[in-house]
Amino acid sequence: MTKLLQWLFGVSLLGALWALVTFDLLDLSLPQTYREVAWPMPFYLLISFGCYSLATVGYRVATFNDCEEAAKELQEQIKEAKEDLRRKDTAEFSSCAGRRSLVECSATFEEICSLF
Amino acid sequence: MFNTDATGVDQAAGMSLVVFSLVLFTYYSVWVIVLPFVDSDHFLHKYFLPREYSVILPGIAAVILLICIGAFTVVVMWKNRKPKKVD
Repeated sequence: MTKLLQWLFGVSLLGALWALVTFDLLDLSLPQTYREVAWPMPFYLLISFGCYSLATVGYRVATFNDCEEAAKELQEQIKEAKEDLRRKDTAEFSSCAGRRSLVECSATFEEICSLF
Repeated sequence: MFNTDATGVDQAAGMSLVVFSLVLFTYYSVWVIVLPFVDSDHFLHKYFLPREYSVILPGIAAVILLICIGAFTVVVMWKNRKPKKVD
């Protein structure tokens, strides 16, 4: 709740400042250019936030890695687990210890399925 | 086993998103913050629409975006509700 109050306080402070400059509430006789810059500020902040979000998403898409080494390691582990199971001749799930980290990697579900 | 072509396309798509957002931010910054301080007969004014449009166009874009998000949400919820009714 305190975080919400903090945000509300900040937003209302900024809004008050914006109204002060845009509508010249205190008769500061600011130059006309200042007011011209000030009045689209909410839209400017919105556009800035949108651009930042878009750039972040784009950057993450561009630098998304495939964890090929981790996939190889897990395939080894799966092979070991399969051999282990064959030796024991049981269907114990405890041998599939690599499963949890396999999900963490970006290997697709079909790839996981094709290994079993 | 891994589709290595996708990484190239992903990289191109991601980088183009980054470049597009940077260009948009720069253009809008110049439009809103720099132009009021430039003389009205300067050549820079030829490359920008009148100042009212710096609010109208984002407003229209926001309305279209909200309509799209709303339509998407409605479609997804409607599709998810149908099998529930059958059960």
